[in-house]
Amino acid sequence: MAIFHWKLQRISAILLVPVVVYVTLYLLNIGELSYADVVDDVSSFQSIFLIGFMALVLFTHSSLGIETILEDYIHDTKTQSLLVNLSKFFHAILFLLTLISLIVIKGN
Amino acid sequence: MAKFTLPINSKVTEGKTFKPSVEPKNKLRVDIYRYNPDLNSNPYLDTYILDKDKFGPMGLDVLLYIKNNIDPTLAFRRSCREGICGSCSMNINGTNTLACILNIADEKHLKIYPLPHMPVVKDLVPDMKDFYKQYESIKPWLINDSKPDREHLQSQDDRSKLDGLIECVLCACCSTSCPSYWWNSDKYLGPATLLHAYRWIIDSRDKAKKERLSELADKFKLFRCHTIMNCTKTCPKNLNPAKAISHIKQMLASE
Repeated sequence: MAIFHWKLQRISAILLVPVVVYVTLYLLNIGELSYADVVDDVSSFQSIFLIGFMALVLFTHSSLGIETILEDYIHDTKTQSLLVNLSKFFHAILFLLTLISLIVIKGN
Repeated sequence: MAKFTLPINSKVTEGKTFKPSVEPKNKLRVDIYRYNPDLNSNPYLDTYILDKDKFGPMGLDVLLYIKNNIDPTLAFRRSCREGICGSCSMNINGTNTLACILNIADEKHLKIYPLPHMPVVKDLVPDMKDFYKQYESIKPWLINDSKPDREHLQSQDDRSKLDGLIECVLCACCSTSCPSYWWNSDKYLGPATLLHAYRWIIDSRDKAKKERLSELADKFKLFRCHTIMNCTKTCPKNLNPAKAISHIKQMLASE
């Protein structure tokens, strides 16, 4: 499990590199786009798939990172386990909210 | 929960100042952490004003001069005085190092503390009990049931893989400089022990590679290493424990 955790953390970090570059470039140019252009960009089938996949990678990476921090600093096993599970739940909610938002944007 | 502040009895107070009767020309100010468990009081920082012309150029020369001429109660470990035994490891001017191989010729002020985050037995002597237990846990000996007529042979290539590993003198400078080891020294093995674990994993004469690797496949024993690299930066023997640890992780990941 420890090896899987370590591998997943690295793979998700590598996958996030192109996303961060793309999102940064997109946000730098967003001033030139109209509201309708942005909605079009987000609601295409490819965008929904890509954003959904990247949200999964992002929240997985974030959850693994926070789990590591909690294991580092919280020494009481019960408190540690509670906080790790809370963090996982919170990240799952964030992922679901992302998917719901994408569906709502597509529906409009 | 990890402790982020020192307990009251760890607060370092001001100690005595030892000055020569005549102000030295080549002056060196040395602040040394002092702690005596028998006094049942807080640790304190003694200050010694010394004449650099009266002792040799190494950190250990300073400590020996103080112990022999000014304050015989000062406690510290030392033995080989040439970086081989690893006894005189301590924190000098904020860096863990071996006092015997640290050149202080250009220094004007030294601050000397015991290795950080270790229980202190007295003055600059840390309690290394748990560190040695961790070292013992990786079985630092050859595991090979075959009994050759003479020695276990090894090619020159295989022997060269051990370079940069067998030079470790277990001074604990690396482990005690690692924040992950500070927070989880009871569960995380630390860079020194892991460097030695890797030394046995890649030894062509050893036949317990799989068992050694599976012993380390634990989220605390090995994976508390977050590649902070303090270990490599501080190693007084210029070794690279972080690289050894990353090789172990790669071996586990590719299994």
